[in-house]
Amino acid sequence: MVNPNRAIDIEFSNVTKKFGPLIAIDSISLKIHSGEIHALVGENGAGKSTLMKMLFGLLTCDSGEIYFRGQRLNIKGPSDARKNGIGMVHQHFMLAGAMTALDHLLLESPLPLLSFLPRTQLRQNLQKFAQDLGLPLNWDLSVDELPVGLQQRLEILKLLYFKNDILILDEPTAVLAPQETQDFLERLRHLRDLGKTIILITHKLKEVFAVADQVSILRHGKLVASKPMKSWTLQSMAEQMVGEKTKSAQYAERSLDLKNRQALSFQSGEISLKLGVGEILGIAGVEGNGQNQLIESLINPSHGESNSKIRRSGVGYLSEDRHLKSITLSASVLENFLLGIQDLFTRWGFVDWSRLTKNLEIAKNDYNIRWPSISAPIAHLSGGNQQKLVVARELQRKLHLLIAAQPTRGVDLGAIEHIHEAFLKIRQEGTSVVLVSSELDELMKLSDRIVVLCKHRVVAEFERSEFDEKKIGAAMGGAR
Amino acid sequence: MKRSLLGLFVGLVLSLSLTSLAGENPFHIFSILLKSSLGSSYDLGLTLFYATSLVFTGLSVSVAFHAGLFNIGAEGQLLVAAITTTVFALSFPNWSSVFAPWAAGLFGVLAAALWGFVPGYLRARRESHEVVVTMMMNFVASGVCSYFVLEKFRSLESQNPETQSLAPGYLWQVWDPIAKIFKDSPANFSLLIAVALSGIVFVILYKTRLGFQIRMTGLNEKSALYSGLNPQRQKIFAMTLAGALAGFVTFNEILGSSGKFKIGFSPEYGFVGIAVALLANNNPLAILPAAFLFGALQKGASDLDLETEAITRDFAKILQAIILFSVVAFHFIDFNKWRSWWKRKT
Repeated sequence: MVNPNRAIDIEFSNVTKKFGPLIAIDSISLKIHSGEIHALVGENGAGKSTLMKMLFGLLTCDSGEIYFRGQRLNIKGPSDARKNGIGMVHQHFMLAGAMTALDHLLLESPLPLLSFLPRTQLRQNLQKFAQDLGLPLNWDLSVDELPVGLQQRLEILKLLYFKNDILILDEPTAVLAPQETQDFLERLRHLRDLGKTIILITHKLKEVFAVADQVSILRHGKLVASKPMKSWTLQSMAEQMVGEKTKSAQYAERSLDLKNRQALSFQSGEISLKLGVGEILGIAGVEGNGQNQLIESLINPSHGESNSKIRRSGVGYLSEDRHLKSITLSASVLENFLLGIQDLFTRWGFVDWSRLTKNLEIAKNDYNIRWPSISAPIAHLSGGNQQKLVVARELQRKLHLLIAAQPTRGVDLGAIEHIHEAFLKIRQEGTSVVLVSSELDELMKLSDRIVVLCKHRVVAEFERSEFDEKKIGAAMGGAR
Repeated sequence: MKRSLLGLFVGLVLSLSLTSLAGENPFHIFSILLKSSLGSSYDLGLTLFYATSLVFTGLSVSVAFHAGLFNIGAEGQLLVAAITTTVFALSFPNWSSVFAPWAAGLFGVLAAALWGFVPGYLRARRESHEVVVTMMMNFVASGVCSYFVLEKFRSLESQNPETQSLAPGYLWQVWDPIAKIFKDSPANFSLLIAVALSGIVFVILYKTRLGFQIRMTGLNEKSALYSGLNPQRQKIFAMTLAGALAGFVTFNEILGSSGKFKIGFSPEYGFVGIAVALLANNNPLAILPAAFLFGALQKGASDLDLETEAITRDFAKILQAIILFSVVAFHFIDFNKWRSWWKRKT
């Protein structure tokens, strides 16, 4: 258990950060004690990542100070942070795919320019080091060969090996399967007991309850509360986070009148599926078990011509990799809103920017999207706002099929509600949805039917009346 | 905009102060440059003549750039256009109609478009890098030109490697309003074509669906692909358009002024066009002033040769380079950082 009189590792004092007119961090004062798991909770765009990036030196604060063990920190870049023993694992890992795990550590080892690389010795040291922590790893595999969970382990081991006692973890469980998540949280607790300070950025309240010692909640760039775990309840935490009462998820029965009318059937490898009109088909499964191939075969991106025909015929797509496939970061909010639906807003070859702007303003109100201005690059928006914009864009067209891959990953609670409502609404209007998600809650809330993929095969299928978290979880793990 | 002007100023100061190393007075050099490029209506006419060709090549490079492609081939594209126009006009010398010069010019533009289409197609379908292909096609173009000029249509009256003159029906001079203003200089109606084209390219890029699709492809090919665009098609289109734009040089050089194909007529318009596009940050409207600046430097430098001891015409290249570096550098300077550094110091 944590000692109440423990030392203070990090102290933020009236820290403020602005991006243009947007106040991302609004005079936050916060203490982080030594040897605790400190959960930083909030919706996307609340400022969690921004705050931590300032601690890690990726951003500088406009005003206010950050203290490290009583000393004022003057951090100009991540290397300064690392010197002070502050390390960060980013949501998107900073690893080079073709390099081995061992070489990643070699890269950061202080060596003279022309010395031979001490691979053998380093491997021995690392094996022992990792074993002692209970985090074993095959150091000779390249990152591409490591599953995501182990890539994350590599990032963490890298920090620990170079004596970073303060770990900032940004949404660490977003990439993990449910079973892996349990295991991961277990190990976090173990690290805490070894005296490491862990700052956990997350919006998954269950995880917060499982591991955190102290919970701080951010909303719209302000710190709304920072209290020890025991004074929180799930309800109070969720309320503080969104600022209003949240509806509890309902797994209500629903009628599916149109189900008998088949909208589409498709085959991809060994997977063949049928989909009814206005049916939401949930695809469950640990990532990398055939979901991507399934989606690719549906929208057929490699064939330019047929792909654009498919999309124009009324197939919407929400990609799991938003930055790469759904939006263009350097283009403006308005231009991103047009991407893929140009044909709807073109007359005589000219884009009707004024009608587009009008529709964008409507979408802004409907989905409660926030941005500095419509001509600002979409990169200035938080992940949640970007995703809401993409959803609004895809639904500008009357769809007969929506393919949604991880539609709410990295998106805040309020936005998740909006997106889910939108799904249920288009379902009523007869749009079929293929929903790929790693969140079982989400699948069970929305789907009419869930199929489970494992090793590129359909291993189980559940009607809505048969939904059961344990059974589905077992099927995902490969059990029959 | 402010940054570009500041960069231009600093670049000029830097490069002119270089001349003092050669024992010249920088102010004197600057006044020669100014007088030689803008001093009389003849001088201004020549400056505008150079600038016109640079507008075409600058637009060509920038359109390709918006699709994420680097068009090194504007030089070859303009050569192909010029030789096509010349060959067409010399093959049908008796056709006299108001359409004759336009037909000859547009044939040139079409040929240049084809010269741009090929690397675009190879890039899109075969993933051959457009830089390599366009560069190689420059050599091919120059070889093709030499063949037609030296083997087929060589002028017998001239010692220079050039073709016979086009029939008068193919020339503009009779009615050309620009040529009347700038008497004796080669400036011609193409100047107005250039101004109009930069406006048209601006509208295409920023107001039409085609332009939107080209720009989105250039910014993020993956997201364009997944949103149902066909990025390969946008690339082919952009390169074809780029070729056509470079091809418009034929109006300025062949139909508007000299009336014949002289080998080596282009002082590397295609490559200076890259600098023009860069200076204009690929904005079609900003290409007009950028091309004018480089046109003025081109013209001004030719008189440096005559009027000074130490400075040669190659010096204009150094001027251009320093100005370009400085303008580009000023786009990346973080003035706030300097300001806070200065505050801390004082």
